[in-house]
Amino acid sequence: MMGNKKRIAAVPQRILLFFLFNPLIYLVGDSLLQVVSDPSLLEFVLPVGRRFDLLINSLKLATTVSITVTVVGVLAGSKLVYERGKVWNWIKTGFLLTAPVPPYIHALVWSGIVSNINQLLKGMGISFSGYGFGISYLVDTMAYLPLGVGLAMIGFMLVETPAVEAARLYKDNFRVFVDVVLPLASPMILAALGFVFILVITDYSIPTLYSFSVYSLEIFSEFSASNNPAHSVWLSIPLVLITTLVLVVSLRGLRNTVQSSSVNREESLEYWSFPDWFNRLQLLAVTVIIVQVVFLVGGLLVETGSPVNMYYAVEAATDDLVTSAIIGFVGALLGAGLGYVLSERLGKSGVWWVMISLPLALPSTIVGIGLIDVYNSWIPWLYGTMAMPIIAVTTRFVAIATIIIYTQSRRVDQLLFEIAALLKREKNQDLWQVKLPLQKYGLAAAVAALVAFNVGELGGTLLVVPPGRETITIRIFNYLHYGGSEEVAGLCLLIVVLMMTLTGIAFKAYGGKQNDHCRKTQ
Amino acid sequence: MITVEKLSKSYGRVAALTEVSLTIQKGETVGILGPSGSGKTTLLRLLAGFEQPTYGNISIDDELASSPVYVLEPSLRDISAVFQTPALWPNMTVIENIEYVQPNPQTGLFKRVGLWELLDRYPNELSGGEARRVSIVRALMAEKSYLLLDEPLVNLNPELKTVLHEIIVEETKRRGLGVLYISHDASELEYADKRYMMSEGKIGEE
Repeated sequence: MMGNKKRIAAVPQRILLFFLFNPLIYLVGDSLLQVVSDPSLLEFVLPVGRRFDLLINSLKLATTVSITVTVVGVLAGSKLVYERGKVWNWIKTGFLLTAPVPPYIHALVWSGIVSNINQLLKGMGISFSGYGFGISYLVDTMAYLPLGVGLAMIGFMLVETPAVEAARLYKDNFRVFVDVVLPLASPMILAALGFVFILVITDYSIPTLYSFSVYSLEIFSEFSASNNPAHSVWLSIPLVLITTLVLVVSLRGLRNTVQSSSVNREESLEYWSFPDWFNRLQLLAVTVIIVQVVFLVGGLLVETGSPVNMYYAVEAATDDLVTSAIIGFVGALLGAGLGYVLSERLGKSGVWWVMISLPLALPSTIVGIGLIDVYNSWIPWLYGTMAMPIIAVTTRFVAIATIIIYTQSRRVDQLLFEIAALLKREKNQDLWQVKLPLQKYGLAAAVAALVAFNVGELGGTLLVVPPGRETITIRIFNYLHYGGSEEVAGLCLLIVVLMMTLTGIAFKAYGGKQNDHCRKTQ
Repeated sequence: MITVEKLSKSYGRVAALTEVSLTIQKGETVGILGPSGSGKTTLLRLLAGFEQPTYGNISIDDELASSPVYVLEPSLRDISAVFQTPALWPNMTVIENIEYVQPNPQTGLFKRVGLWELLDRYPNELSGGEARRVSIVRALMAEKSYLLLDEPLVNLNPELKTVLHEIIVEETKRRGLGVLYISHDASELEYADKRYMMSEGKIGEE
């Protein structure tokens, strides 16, 4: 009897996995079959000559950006998380709200700033290059700083306060920070490093804008040139090996993050102080993030010029906004639902971490190509509909929803779930009366985060968006290639406002309400 | 000597502690009994320097340690503590947890409390009783003059409770520690030099 129940419970999970991995499995299977008949395809796997240079470029960009973001994240995060008071709250809120603003908007702003600086310095014969590695590094770093700082802050918040308090009785604050807080927060910090590395190395949109050639663009270009998915699959192998390795290493610690919400009292850490040199470094990091917010919002306001420009921009892009909203919200609901089911598996085996995170490790182009390959030939009635971009964003970002829901769930005392399962009188009583009420904030945070990621997605949706439709991201990306204008800035400003609103909801759900619950359970 | 003068702590409108005064001499054990929510743990957290008083002050060896405008860093207070939860550092083994507070620990105490075989384990590999033993040994081994005990023996089996209680009494007497011992169980505090009752944030002689 028990065996039957287990089998029945496993069915939805298998359907979900099939739904997620079907295009990718098919793509890999198809590529394997092609290589049997044409072994020369294996030449794509080896990055030699120009491709080797492209891979080095990608590694250089992803490594430098992820390390910078992590270092600034730890320094600024450790300052922001323990500081109280209105000014600090404003800095925290303003900065974290910019987390999901897509990188191309940062690109628009920083391109404008570099151009203005060059105008000012013209007379002095000095100029900053608006092309190449430097500007790509700057834009990607600024774009992913909120993610790095935000995850570092969550890492610091997850450290059990009694463990910190116990150490504070015996060692000075800085030693406690180094010996206890940093090691305990390291799973989330390492996860931030991994996420940023992967998001940068799989993205081609930013480097392309600045004529900095990277490996992920080669995958897209190869598909465009040959129209043979197998070429792109074999070409992506070196990148996928790197991203998978980074994922496995960076997410290894996150799985074991165990947290009991009932023991956290953040107010007891209000009074701790660090040596002057460390304080200065923290303040420097905080200054960087203030610059990021001020330049982002200020730059867009200046570029937009007037509300009239914004109105015209929105009017011209109404259809695209509707398309983006459908993809964003439907994809988010689907992704959060899948993420909820899959998060149950994460605590049980490390294999699930790898499987669920794998789509995140793939270049977005490969996800798009996989969908085309499967749905164009197998389910043609679905191909060319709005379902395609929705499936694309769900496949790409379900890992993020799963991890958000999982980590929020770990902040709740697991004993509460175990007792509910033990004492329930009816089937699913524990789900409706205990689990969902305690996990609803994680679910809300996952939905909001996915809306933001889905709306900003480019590589996958670009390939599978239905004919005659366009997302707001595609429109802006196209505009950017023709050069910035007031209309683009107006649209970007609109996206920033929408994203900041959604992030506000997500953070309120994830942090604020959860803390209320923590206090109630003490 | 620890001197607590008219100490009060409020969380918003809720008064957790109201005008509590007491002293703890070195070599003296002060016991505090009281129901849940009576303010016992708040008092301990204020003494440890984890929270700031709303009113009143705490002095340790004639130096101001806490007031509504000043909180001395916990590590500078000459205080060790056992909390209601073991609060072991999950990134360190048992021996590393202990060496964190005492680089040259006495091996005799490990054997006596049955920790000898567990020294290389991580906290997640310990049972609740084992983790509790580690937290007590860690606090006893610290070179501090005062020890705060917040329900240190709660939820332990009677045999282990008896052994650990004996060790706490012997070690604190031998080293002349000033002890604040908080418990629900009056029998644990029979040996105390002074006993107080706490109720609704106020303290009174038993």
